Amino acid sequence: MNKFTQQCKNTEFTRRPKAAGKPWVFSFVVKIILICLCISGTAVCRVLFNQKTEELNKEATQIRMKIVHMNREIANLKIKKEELSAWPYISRRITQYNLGLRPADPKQVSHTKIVDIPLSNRFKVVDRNTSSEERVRSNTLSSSRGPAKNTLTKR
Amino acid sequence: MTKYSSIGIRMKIACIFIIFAFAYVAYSFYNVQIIRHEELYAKAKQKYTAKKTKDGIRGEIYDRDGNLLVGNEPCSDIFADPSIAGDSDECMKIAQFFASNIGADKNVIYNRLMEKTKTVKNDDGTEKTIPNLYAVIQQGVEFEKAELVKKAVAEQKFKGIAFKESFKRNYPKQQLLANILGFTNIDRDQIVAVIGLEKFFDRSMTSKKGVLEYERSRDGIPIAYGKSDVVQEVQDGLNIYLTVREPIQAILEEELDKLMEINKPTAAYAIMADPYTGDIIAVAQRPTFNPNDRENMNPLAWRNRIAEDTFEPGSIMKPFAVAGALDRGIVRPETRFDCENGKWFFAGKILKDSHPLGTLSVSQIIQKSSNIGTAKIAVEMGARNLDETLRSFGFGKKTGVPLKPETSGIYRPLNKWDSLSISRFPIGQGLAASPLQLVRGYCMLANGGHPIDLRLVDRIQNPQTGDIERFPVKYGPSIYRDSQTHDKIVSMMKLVTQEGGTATVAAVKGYYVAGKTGTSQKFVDGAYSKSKYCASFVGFVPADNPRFVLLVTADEPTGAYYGGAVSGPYFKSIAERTLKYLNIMPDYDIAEYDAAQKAAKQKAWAEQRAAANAAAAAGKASASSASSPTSSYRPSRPVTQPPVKGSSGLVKSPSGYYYRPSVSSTTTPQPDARKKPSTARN
Repeated sequence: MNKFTQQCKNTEFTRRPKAAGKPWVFSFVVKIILICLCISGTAVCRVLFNQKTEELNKEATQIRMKIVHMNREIANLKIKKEELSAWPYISRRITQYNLGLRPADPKQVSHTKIVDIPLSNRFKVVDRNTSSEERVRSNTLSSSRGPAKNTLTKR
Repeated sequence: MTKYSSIGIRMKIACIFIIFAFAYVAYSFYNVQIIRHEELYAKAKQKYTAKKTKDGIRGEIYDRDGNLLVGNEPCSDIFADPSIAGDSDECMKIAQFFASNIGADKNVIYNRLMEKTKTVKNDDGTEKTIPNLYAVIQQGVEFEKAELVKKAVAEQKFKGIAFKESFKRNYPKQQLLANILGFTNIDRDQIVAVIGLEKFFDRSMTSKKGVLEYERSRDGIPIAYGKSDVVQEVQDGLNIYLTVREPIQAILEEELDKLMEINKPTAAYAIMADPYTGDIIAVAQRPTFNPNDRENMNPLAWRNRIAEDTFEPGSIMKPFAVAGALDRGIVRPETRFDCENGKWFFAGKILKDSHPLGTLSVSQIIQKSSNIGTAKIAVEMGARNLDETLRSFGFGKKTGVPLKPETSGIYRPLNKWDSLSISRFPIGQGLAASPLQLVRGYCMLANGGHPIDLRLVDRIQNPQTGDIERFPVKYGPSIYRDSQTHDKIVSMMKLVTQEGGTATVAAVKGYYVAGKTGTSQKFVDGAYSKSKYCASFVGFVPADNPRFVLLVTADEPTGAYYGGAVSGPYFKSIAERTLKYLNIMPDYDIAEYDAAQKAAKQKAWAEQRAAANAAAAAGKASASSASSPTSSYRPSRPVTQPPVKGSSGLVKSPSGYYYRPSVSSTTTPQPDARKKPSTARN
């Protein structure tokens, strides 16, 4: 046995009862508390999650009911629309408001055809319109021969 | 100080007690979990499991373009729980509320609410009194009204009032197409189809209830993670799409109403069909009913006359026999027959024409509707050929429209024909056909002789999946052997609505109309009535490329009774409006046509005047030069009247009736020679 070992055994410190066991208890309690915290945390989360789910479920149910209600409203409007678009109803209104409606006739549709003047001719027209000198000349010339001619209308 | 031994005893007692307690708990667990498991599980399940039934929606009926004809209108049934409704004062309040808001009978509601208990019979026959939990306040309350009432009930805080959402059948177009659509009734919460398409397609349109079983929370909402089982899938009824087009149907019904108002027949019907597809575009009958107005509904008007009724068609049968004779080469349009001045003795009986007629060509026989001429053509044809012809046009066969019951008409087999049959059947006597059969026959005349089945239903749609099942068009090969037959018969039928025909009033300006009038005496008490007639006009327009075949029949009209006079004008107005609606361009320019007609008339008048002047001048000259005593007498008209050509190109027969001299001149000048259209359609 060496001296150092002997000294330690004889000191007060080494002889104190293991009292004590305090660090072991502490760590055990901490562990338990942690486990409990985990469990309770999980439980709370679960409860909160369930609560949220149920809330959403309720909302979904309410929305579903709203959809059903709206579908019924649509069905009702559809019927009303069909009632209002029935010919007897329309004809009654035509008579009531004295609307001057007449049946459609294939002849009432007319097709408008736009015929474009060739570009070169169009410029000529513009020239003659704007060139007053030329017009005066032509008018003077024509007045001596007869009534003036409107070149634009002629074209 | 406590001895160790006493502590030991107490410990033992405590242990024993605990053991017993545990044993009891264990037994209870065993009892609950094992022995009473089924019972308690069922009880618990009943508490947290809910069964919800959901009604499907009955199929709807639409027209071809998707316009709703029969729909489901949302409504609410209002119920009360008398056991919790409150005392007499409270019940009176509720009764008054509903009486003022939904127009229900106050006393009835009050009495129902005051029935707090009811007596029921047990299985063993004994009676017991139980609380009354159910009283009807009002059924089928309109959606908008029900919503307002629901809010008001919540505000008033009435107890025990419940609203059950449901649907009721609605016919938004009122009496439009009512006889075809039919209607349904409610019998003990069950929809019962009574007549029409509602009945024919009842199985397809009926919905199936859905059953959902789910775990519910305390407030009845399904639990998010709970079990939910669909015991039975909810299935909506199938939607039916008809071939009918609502706007044209409205035109038809409006004109038929006018006919009823002016000619006051006992009944009237009109059918319009597409000759190439057999689609019934519009169909109506009078009298009819409004399926939404059950109180004023006349059961006599329910019958579907167009499918169930038959009538002797009269002259509208003539084109069939003539088409058969033309097709077999027995006659040609210009073949002439002596119409015996209106009376012909055949097989021991006299056959009469409505007007005395002389010798007429086949075209004129159709144009003037000569019974004798048609009978003679049929006699030339022979019974077998006539029978074959009429059968090939579908007489004696059902049309196949989805309406029950449907008549196949009265058409005797060849071996049961008597000696008169051959002369009477071609003029529409001695046989009977339904309006639908006649329309089918005319569809064949219009489409070049192709047999066709009439279609009333275009497609059926599953509203949930969107799947569509279409009803096929049945279009057979032509029954004509000669490719010219169609053109020949159509040309003849065109004359009916042109000058000199029996139905000029049925002519539609701008279009060539091929048709035929029919006036048949009704067979009453074993004899042909002299006062009751069926007046019909059937035709197709535009004649050369027909868009529709239209039949208008008035049963027992008052006043005028000829088909041309009674039904012709309505044919014209229906056809005119429909052609405009369908945007079908006219066959010819009306202004040009009118101008040509006027010019022709003026020319003829000028020629006549010139001839008269020349004759007068010649007469003057001869009077001044001749001195014969016989010349002093000049009859105004020769004794034997030679044909006199009129201004319109008609020839006056010795009997005083105008006719056209030959087939070449029968065709009225037409402004433009249209090319022959192809009868086949894509």
